[in-house]
Amino acid sequence: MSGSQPADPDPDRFEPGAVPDLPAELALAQLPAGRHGLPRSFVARNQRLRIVAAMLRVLPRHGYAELTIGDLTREAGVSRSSFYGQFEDKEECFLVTYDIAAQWICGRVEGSAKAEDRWPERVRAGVSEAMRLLAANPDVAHLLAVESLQAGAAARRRRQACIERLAEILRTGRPARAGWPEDLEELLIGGTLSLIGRYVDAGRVDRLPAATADLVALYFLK
Amino acid sequence: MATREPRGSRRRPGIESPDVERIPPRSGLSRAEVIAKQQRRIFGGLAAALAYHGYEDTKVTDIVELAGVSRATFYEHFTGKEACFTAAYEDGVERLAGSVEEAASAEPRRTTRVSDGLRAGLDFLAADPALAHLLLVESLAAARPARLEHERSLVRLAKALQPPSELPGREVVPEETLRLLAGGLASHLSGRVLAGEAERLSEDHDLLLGFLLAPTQAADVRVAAG
Repeated sequence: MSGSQPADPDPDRFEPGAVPDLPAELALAQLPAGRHGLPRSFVARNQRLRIVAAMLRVLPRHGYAELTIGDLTREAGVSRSSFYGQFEDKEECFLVTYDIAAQWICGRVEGSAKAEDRWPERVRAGVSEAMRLLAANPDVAHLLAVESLQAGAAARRRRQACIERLAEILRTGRPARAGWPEDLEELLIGGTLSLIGRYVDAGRVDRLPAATADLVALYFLK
Repeated sequence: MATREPRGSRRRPGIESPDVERIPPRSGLSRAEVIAKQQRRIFGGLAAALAYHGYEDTKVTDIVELAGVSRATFYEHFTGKEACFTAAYEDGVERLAGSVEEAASAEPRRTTRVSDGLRAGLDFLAADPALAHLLLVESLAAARPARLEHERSLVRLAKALQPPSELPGREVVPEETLRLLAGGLASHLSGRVLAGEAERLSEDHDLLLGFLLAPTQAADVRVAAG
């Protein structure tokens, strides 16, 4: 596994701590107890990201509704008071986790699409990147496709915003065709997300890359 | 956002109890008919309670209050909220699919068929916003067994819009495509219902028709030309 080689981390593996100003393995390591002399802001950030990573791992096991703060703090190795120092409640923690994951995948998809000049190649590149990343990160697929429907109204608005962002990537550069509805891309992405949910429920997220060609053909509408 | 009364008081300003058809003693109805009527009333109470309180927050007390039945009657039919939800969902899908299938089956041409079936489905949902909420919002937010049930319903509805298999020149739409179309439709409709626009779902007919037909539009054109 690439996880045993910190010098060469898997570029497709989602790490909430892998943010530009902080290496992942440093951010997510459990800090030594007691006086370690690390700056307070570093400790807080470390805890925050560890809780986010824990949320991601624990969701498929319990589901949002059943999930307790105790599940999160145990998984993250932080105290309850540290949790409440970072987040108002379970919902806020979920939304922060959702935002980080959605931002990551949308950014990657956008990047691959933009690297191509022609619209069909852009679509192919974007879909293929999305399916590859979701297959490599079942927890993220579960969060984005399934749990975003379970966690209340704010989460559902986030899901809608994510659909709109991906729809915009799909729409950019599309040759105009008479008779096609204005919201076609939103509907296609909404349907894709629902389809991904089925793969998640069936435990077959690993098969998503194999669905790439069919999805692309459908997006081309031919 | 609707403001909720504090828990315990359970006053529900702004909603009316669903129409309740009371069964008089010695009504002449068979046992099965009485059971069916009672269940339908309980389903109405559940849908109204869910639309107001959401699934997590709905108690059996809310369901029986809104349905106008006793707790004892409720527990004669269902072991609890979950069982009641599952039965209400199945009943709702059955009726929705029934209206879609009936409207669609009359039409051999795919375009008209999809258009008529879609219109019947949208009208059905728009006429009963509480049921639309149950079918499109709560079912997706429910635990896994209910979600899997939802899956099967989506495919069934999508298939109802397909042309009959004996039709010549028929373009077969793969199940995965149907599934995606149904999912896109459900995702869009659930957004509208959440925004409190269930009564206006029928307005989306043309937009959604364009979406449902788009993947096969090119194919249809080929068939027509050939």
